[in-house]
Order: sequence, then structure tokens, then C-alpha cells
Amino acid sequence: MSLKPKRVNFNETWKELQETVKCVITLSNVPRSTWNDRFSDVYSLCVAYPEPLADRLYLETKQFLDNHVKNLLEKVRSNGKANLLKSYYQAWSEYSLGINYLHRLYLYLNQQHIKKQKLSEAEIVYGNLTPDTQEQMEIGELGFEIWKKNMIEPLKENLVNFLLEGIHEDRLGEGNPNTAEIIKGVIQSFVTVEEYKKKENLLLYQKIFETPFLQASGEYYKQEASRLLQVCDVSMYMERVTQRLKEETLRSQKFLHCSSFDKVKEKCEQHMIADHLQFLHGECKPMVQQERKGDLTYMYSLLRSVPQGIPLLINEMLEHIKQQGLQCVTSLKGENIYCQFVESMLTLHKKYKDMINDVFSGDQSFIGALDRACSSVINYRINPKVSSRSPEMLAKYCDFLLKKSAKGMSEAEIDDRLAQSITVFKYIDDKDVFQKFYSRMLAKRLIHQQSQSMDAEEAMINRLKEACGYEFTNKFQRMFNDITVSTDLNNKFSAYLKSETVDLGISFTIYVLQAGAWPLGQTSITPFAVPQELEKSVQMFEKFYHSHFNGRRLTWLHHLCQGELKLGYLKKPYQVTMQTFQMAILLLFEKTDSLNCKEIQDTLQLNTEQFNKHVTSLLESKLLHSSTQDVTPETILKLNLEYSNKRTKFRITAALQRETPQEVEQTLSAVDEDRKLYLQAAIVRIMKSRKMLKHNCLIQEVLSQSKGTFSPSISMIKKCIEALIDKQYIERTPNSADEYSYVA
Amino acid sequence: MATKKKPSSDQGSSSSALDSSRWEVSCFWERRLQKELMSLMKEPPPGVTVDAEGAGQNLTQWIIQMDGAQGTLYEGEQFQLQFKFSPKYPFDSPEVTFIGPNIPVHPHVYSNGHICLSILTEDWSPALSVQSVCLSIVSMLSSCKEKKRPPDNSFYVKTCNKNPKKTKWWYHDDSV
Amino acid sequence: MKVTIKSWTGVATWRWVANDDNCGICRMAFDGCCPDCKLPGDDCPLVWGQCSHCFHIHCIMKWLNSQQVNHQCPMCRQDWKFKE
Repeated sequence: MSLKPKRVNFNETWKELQETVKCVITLSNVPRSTWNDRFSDVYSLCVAYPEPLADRLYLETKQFLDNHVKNLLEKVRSNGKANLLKSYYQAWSEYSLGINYLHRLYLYLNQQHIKKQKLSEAEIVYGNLTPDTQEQMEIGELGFEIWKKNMIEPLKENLVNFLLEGIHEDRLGEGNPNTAEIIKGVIQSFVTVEEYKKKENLLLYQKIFETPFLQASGEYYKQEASRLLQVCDVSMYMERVTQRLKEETLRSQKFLHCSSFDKVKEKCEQHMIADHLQFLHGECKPMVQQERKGDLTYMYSLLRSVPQGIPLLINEMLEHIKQQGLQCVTSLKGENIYCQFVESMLTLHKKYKDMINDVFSGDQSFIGALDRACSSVINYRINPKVSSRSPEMLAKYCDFLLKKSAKGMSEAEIDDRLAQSITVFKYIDDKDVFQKFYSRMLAKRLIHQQSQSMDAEEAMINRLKEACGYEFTNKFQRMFNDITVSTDLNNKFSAYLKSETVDLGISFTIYVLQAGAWPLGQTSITPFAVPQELEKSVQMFEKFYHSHFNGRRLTWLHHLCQGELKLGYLKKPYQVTMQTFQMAILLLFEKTDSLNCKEIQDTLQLNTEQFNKHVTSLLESKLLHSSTQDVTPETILKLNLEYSNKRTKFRITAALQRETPQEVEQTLSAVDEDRKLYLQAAIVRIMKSRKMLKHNCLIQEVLSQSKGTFSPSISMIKKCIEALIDKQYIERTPNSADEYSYVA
Repeated sequence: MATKKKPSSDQGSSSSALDSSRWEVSCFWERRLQKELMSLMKEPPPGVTVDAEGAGQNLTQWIIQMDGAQGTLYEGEQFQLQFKFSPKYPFDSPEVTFIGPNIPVHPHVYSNGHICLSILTEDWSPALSVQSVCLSIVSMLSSCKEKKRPPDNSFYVKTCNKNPKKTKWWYHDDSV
Repeated sequence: MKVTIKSWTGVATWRWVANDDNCGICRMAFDGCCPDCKLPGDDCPLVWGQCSHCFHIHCIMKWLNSQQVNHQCPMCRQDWKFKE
């Protein structure tokens, strides 16, 4: 075949070409050779000499297709109205496929002749021009355009009515499985005929089908919802609605163009959920209170899909968790109230966290509600004027687990519980109170060697550090370090004794603590004449320490020291662990069996408070007898020579090491003092940078600065402001009573 | 008037759990300058006032108001001192000059504000402070017997570096 | 012997013996630590000069290292020698 332009007889060529076109468009058999010849004919016509015949070819083809589709329309109509969808679909299936082939047969015309005159994409999209209807189109597009004009336009109302009817039947479960393909195909034809367009290519689909369809769907679900509400209770209603939504989603996929999926869903949700929000919301409270998980799962997924649906449910959950928690904390009773408290809070937290994960797919807003509920339960004040005891109870709980007393639990179990207690810790507002109590209890555990394991102690400090930062645990860490380095210190001291060839006569160990890190009150300090038996140890150690640690001053805390005493004057030998002052008292009975209190106190130089406390403890242990009920200077103390005990090794320190109510009081008032200092510092800082501030603004700033450590009462802040006015750091401004200014 | 006690916010001891410094993470020179600023604001030496706001915003540059002491040649006059600190402070001395409209006429103060004072360069010690420098300058002014510029003033002012610390001072006269 | 001591565990605290409360260089309390440290005590010890002035070791070392020739006590300008 020659590609050279030549003279062509249009009529002859077209006649032959038209035959083939007819075959192609009706999907009849076209031999390969014929196809190739007609393909060349299209070329020859387009490049014909002396003038190209492309325009004529275009016009003839257009005319042909126009007639062809008009004939098809007649055929479709003649099959009767009842068969409209099916006939249309059959005609369309054949035509749309045929037009694709035809498009390929006219490749040369499409590519060379028509593309050249077309507007560029940019011109159409951005130039705001509509393509000229007179403009020539590629043959495929032309075919669809003609279909739209000659077939869809005249039939559209009937077609759409049948489509809506078909889908309606499908919703009622009466759909014919065979018509599903037809319905989808017909709907798809509305999309396909305009698919070639560069903009708004869904317009036809939307205008003739989607809009009436959405309208009809809305109506349907509106009625469906009221029908269901008449026959269902809320559980069933939600179940049905969920089912309906699921079905409708599948139905969309079955019939519609994907751009409609969300719109349909929105319609359903609007009429079945949003329109009945009041009803659904009204059911939330009992559902939450009875913790009907199945119902709540449905409720969550329904409410989540509509605006303003979920907040009420979140709130009901918050209230419910809070009520459950408050019931718990207000009914605690008995000895180990702190265990009950922490463990019931953990149970509460876990229960509702699990529920949120199961029922509300772990939704963060529900987790937030859980947090708020737990926080208000844990920080609840039974008496609004007295701060919550939770920080103290949590510290006690940790103490209980970390002490040797936590018997019957494996190390792993203890570790696990400690790890969980951090959950409660995070909710505590008054972290400073916890810090104070924890620090005192840690000090006692460490000094009195009551810690179950140093690893567990360290792990707990690290957990608190992780939760609240380095500064929070700074002192705990320092205390812990003091104890761990003491082994090394004692070894060095032993080596020193060896090198000096000194024998202390007793087994001696020591803890040397950094004064600043330990919460060791001054209240127990008393003068004390160290017994001769201990004197050498004290002197040697001081000598050693000063030679090793330049520039440090050592202070003995005898009230915290303890020792083991061997009693040889009884029927059996006993080994008793006791405190130094108790030891000192017993040691005085070496040469006599009775002494009066005044003598003892004068010899030991103890203050009366400490003296009485320790004498009382010895009397309670029955190691001593007294001549009077109360301990007075004249009371005569006697060794109990008949003393016996099942155990040969025991300790009598417990009563003295237990936390007394006074100590709790002291701890709390120490927290108060620290808070006042903290608040005053914060006020000075704020006023220094702001220079002048209204009362309320100042309060707000102070509150926001102290958040995370504790929540101060407004009256405490006011008192601190007053104190600073007295100290002349700030003053009231002359022009306004509720404004302060910084005094530089 | 009630006596002002040290405010809790600048108590030195970090053994207080509520030491304000724990809220501000800052380095050596910043923490020391903050402490100095606090004490200068709370207990300023007589006749010395620090512009706390300016210094609070930019710790590296302070302006200090200084009144001529009573009974001296400078009585009734007001001066402004500028302190500039490097990150090496207090191991490196601050750069101290008089600025503003009134530069004291003094045999050790050049008309561009530079001061010939040995503690500002070779005799600097980290134990010195803004307060002690101010006191030294007050006493340098107070002991002046005749208001006059240094003899080499016009030559020095023409040729010197902007930074007085770059000048190789020759501290000829210790009596003034 | 009626009563004999088998063992004894002493408890004592220590603090710095310093003439002043604060370090003359950093102005921080001796009970605390220098501005570059976090933990007071062993990690940030004090040292004394023969002139009996005392500083955080980190502070005096920073000062001595910044001086090329004369190593003087910041307080009294005597030649700095560590007290043994």
C-alpha cells in the first residue's frame, strides 16, 4: 500500500466503508483483510488529492450514526415499556462496544485530522470556554454524543423511573438478581457517555439519575425509620439501622458510581440517626448505667457518624465511671484501706479502659473521659475543706509493697503492682504531698533496712522519674545512692581498721547520709552520752571519715541507729534487735538489776521525751518492769529476770519506727510550708515580669504555674499575696483595690 | 518600714524542693547573672539602680543608674553605666562603660565613657560582681579631688577600640 | 556479762564545713551544687585553698584554667594552692 496522497472517488470508497462501519457497530464479523483495507481507506480519504476529504467523511459518518441510533431507539421502544431497561441495556452494550471498535478504525481521522483542531485541555479547563458544538469530535466521542442525544434524552424519564423502582425492589428484598446487572449497566451508561469530557463529566449522571435517586432514598429511609420505631425498642432499632446502613453500602457498590457512595450514606444517616438523635440520646443514660455493652457498641457506631452525636455519650460515660469510683472510695473501711484504695482504683481504671477498647474502639475522647473521671475520683475530697488523702494512701501502698512486710507475693507480682500504681500516681493532683510521704517512708525503709530489695526500690524511683521528671525524684535518687555507696564506705573503713590494727569489739556498720537529701526532722534530736561500748566505734569512724573526706562535718543521728544485743542473764540466751537508746538503757543494768529513771536519764543525758518513749517501749516488751504505772523520775526500773520468749531472735523496734499520727500531721504541714514558699516565689516571679496585674489574672497565672505539682486553694494564694504585701514585695495600686504592682 | 527579708524565690539553697532555679534550665553564666540581678534589685547599694526590665529581657546587657554621692564633686549628677557580659562570665570580666549624656569628668574616665580601672581587666576575679564593680566605681568617683579628663583623652578617644577591654591599660595611679 | 552488743548500725549525716553559705564564684549554695551539676555531694565536691577559702571544685577549676599565668584565689588574690 502506498502512503502517497492520490485521487480518491469519495462515493465509491464511502459506500464500501459504510458497509464495514455497519458491521463494526453491530458487532458483526469483519475479516481482518477488510478491516485493514477500510483502515487504509480512511487514511486515503483524509489525505486525498487534490483536496482532503476528511470533512466529508466526518459528516457522512455522523449522519450514519445518527440514523443508526434513531433506528435503535425505535427498536428499543418497540420491545414494549415493560422491557425498556433490558432492551436499552442490550442496545447500549452492543453500541458502546461497537463504537469503541469504530473509533479504532477511524484512527487516522481521529489523530491527524480532529485532534489538531481541538482546544487544548488547558484551554478548556482554565479558559472557561465550552467546546463549540460545531467542532468536530473524535469518532468515539461523537458516537457517545449521538447516543446521548438520540437515545438517552428521549428515554431518560422512563429509564430513571424503572431504575428507581428496581433499586426500591432490591431494598425490599424483592429484587431480581438478573436485573442487577442491567440496572448497574444502565446507570453506568450515563457515566460512560460523558466520560471523555474534561470537566464536569459526571453532570449527566448526577442530573438525570443521582439527584432523583438521593431524593427517593431519603424518602425511603425517612419512612423506614418511623416504621422501625413503631415496632422496635432501642436495641432492635439500632441493630436494624446498622444492618440497613451496611446493606445500603453494599447496594451502592452494586449499582452506583463510586462518587455517590458517601452521599447515599449521609442520606441514610441523616434520616435514621440524626433525625432521631433525641430518642437515641435519651437511651444513653440507662444503657451506660447498666453497661449494656452490645447496645453501646451499636450506639457508638451510630452516633459517631453524625455531627453532635457522640459528646453526650462521652459525658454519660464520664459521669458513670465517676459515680462508680466515688461509691468505691467513699465506702473504704478497715486496716489496709490504702491497699483497697489503690487496688480498687486500678480495677476501676482497667475495667473501663477495657470497656472503651472493646465497645468504643479505644476512642481517644472516651479515654479522655476516663482520665477526667479517674482524676476527679482520686482527688475527691470527702470533706471539701480537707485535702484528699489519696497521695498519702498511694505512698503507703508503695511502702507496703517495697517493705519486707509484703510477704506471700512473688517478686514479679510486687514489681507488677508497683508498675501499675503509676497509673494512679498520674492522676494525683497533689504530687507534692505524695513526694513528701514517699520520701519519709523511703527514708525509713532504707535506714531501718526494711527494703525488700534495692532493685525494686531503684525501679520504682525510675518509674516515678519517668512519670514526673528528674527533679521530682532527685532526692529519692540521692537517698538511694547514699545507701548503695555505704557498702563501699564500710569496706574502706574495715580496711582502715585493719591497717591501724584496731578492734572495735563489736560488728559495726554505718550509713552516712547527705544532710540535704533526707527528710530527717530535727524534732527527735536529743543530747546523748554515747555508751562506752560504742564510743570506740564512733571515734574511730570519725577519725577515718575526716581523713578521707576533707571539709565535711559529721552529725550522728543516734535516734535512728539500731543494734543487736545479746541478753545473757535469762534462762535462754536471746538476740534482740533494738534502737540505740534502748540498748543504752539496758547496758546500764550490767552491775545491778534495778535503777531509777532519774539516774538513767542523767547518765544518758537523753531529753525527757525520747527517754520516756524508749523506756515505755522496753516496758511494753516486758524486758523491764517498773515500780509505777507512769514513768516518773522516781520510777524504779527492774530487769525482768523471768522473761521468756518463744523466739530467741526478735526485734522490739517496730513500735518506734511506725508512723505516728503526729508524723502524718507534720508531713502535711511541711507540705503546706513548702507550698507557701512555692506560691510566694511564683507570685514574685510573675509580678516581676508583669509589673502590674489584676487580682484575678494573678490568681490564674499562679494556678497555671503550679499545675502539675499541686492544686493550691484560692485562699492559700490570697494569704501568700497578703504575706508578700506585708514583706513589701508587692503593693496594691493606688487607683484600684484589686490590682497589684511589683515593688522593685 | 518593715525590713525586707530575702524572698523565697532567691534563696540560695537548692536543698529546698521549691528552689525557683528548678523551673529554669539555664547555664552557668545565666544562673549567676540571675542571682546577681535578684540581689541587686532587692538590696541595691545606695545610689545604684538597675534597669531590671531590660536586664531581665536580655541578661547579657544591663544598664545601671548611678547617682553622684553626696558630699563629693559629683553630688546631684546622674550617670549611666553599661555592663556587657560574655558567656564566659564570671571567669571573664564584664565590659563596663559610662554611656548617655553625662559622662563623669574624672582623671580615669575618658570622654567616650571608657574607664581606667584595673579590676575591669587584669585584676578581675570571679568573686567580683556587678555590685562590687559599681561600688568600686562609686568610690573611684568619690575620692576625686579635681574634675578633669585624663591627660591623653583626645588622643585615646580618637584611636581606641570600641571595647575598653581591648585597651592595654597602664594603671599609673592607684590613689584615685 | 549480762548484756553484750553484737552489732551496731550507725546513722550519721554530713554537710560541708564552709565559712560561707555560698560559693564565691557561682554564688550557689554549698549545700547545693555548681550550676553545671545536677547532684550535690560527691559529684560536685568542695575544695579548700591554703588561704582557707572554699569553692565548688568545678568552679575553681574553671577559673584556674581560664588564667594563663597567675593562679590566684578569687577571694584574696593569694597564690592558689590546694589544701591537702
